[in-house]
Amino acid sequence: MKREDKKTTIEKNIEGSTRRDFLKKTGSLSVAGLAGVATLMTGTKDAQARVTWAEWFQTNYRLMTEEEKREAIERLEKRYSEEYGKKVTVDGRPAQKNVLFGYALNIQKCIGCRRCVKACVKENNQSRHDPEIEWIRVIRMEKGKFSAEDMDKGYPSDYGIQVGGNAYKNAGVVLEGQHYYQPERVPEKDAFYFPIQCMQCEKPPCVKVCPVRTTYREPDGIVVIDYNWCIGCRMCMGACPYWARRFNWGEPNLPKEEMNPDTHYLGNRPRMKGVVEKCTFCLQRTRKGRYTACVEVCPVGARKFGNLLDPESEVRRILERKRVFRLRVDLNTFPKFFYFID
Amino acid sequence: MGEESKKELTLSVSAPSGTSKEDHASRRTFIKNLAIAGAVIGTNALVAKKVASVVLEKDPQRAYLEDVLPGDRVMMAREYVVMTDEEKKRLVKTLIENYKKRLG
Repeated sequence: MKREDKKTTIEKNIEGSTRRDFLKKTGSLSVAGLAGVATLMTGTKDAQARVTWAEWFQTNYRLMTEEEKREAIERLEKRYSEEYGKKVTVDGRPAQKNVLFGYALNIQKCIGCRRCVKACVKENNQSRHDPEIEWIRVIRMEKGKFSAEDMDKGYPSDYGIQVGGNAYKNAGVVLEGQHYYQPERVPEKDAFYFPIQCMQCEKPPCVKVCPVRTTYREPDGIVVIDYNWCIGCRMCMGACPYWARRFNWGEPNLPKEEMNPDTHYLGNRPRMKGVVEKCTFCLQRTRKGRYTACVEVCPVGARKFGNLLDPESEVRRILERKRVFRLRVDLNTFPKFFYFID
Repeated sequence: MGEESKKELTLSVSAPSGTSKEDHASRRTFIKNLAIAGAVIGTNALVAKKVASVVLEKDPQRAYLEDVLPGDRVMMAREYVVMTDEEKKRLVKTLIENYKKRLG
């Protein structure tokens, strides 16, 4: 009887201590786990470590109060300044009133020099290698031809449709592998050049599909991305009919000395791995009344930019006087990027 | 006989405490198993994530080109139709009206 009682008491003690131990262990494990997560989330660099937590928990930029926006911008300025070893400014300037940006490109004048591509990369802090990200593509295309010799070749079918040879050879055939063409001189004979970038659609399909509403259209017509809110699902990339969006497959490589310190929160501030980016009509410049980098650098003046609400702007004049066409009008995206011919 | 009845008595008295002990033991075992299962699943997930990140990691440049280049052909395999004056006027009007509607 005594033995049994003793056993029960000991077991009771063991039982009690086990529960206590278990709770203790669970508590310690939870703390260790949280510490581990914290270590994983925070960066190794001082500046990064200080702001990552706050950045992690910040909300969608559109939903932030003015105070929250200011704090977010200050955090980024501090981190970027320490990371890149120079004074970096992050602008949060909103869209100007009574401005709707539009762009026009003279397809006849473009000589395919790709200076716009390089200027864009430099201005917008795009990754320089692995991957080399470019927001503007310039495609080399075959010119259409008219040959009088071919006029009699071919014959009309029963329905009056030309069969066989034709005097006119259609333009618009993409030459093989011409995205990164490297000719000795431009423009080349029998080729014309077709630059493509974000069309800043009035009804952007990319905005419609974004599940977290990180990409949206600003009042001045520019479609922007809050990189901190982007989850990298690539839905917008699938929806964009112009192939204008780029995904950061790796950690972007932006050398410190090449970093443009004049940035905007919704524009050219350095991006991170796993987020989407695209042309923003250089809003860090255009919202201050400057031209985009590509317009400024174009040596032949093929690129024009302006306010579609202003009847005196270059874009409106082009729309009134030139022969204009747009890409993929069939989709009713209402692109605000126009191609024109003199 | 007297000894046996004592033992029986002892057993019958200690029976309820034995049941409670079993209850505790099974709860303890369950929690222990749960903790072990959690740890195993967590470890497996971490290992799988690490392996996947090493094995499935795409070459960023190649992945980027796979994203971009198919677009060239699709974009160019289209007919581009010059807008009529009427279309241009209507477009400008629509854009201005949209702007006013959005911003009052």
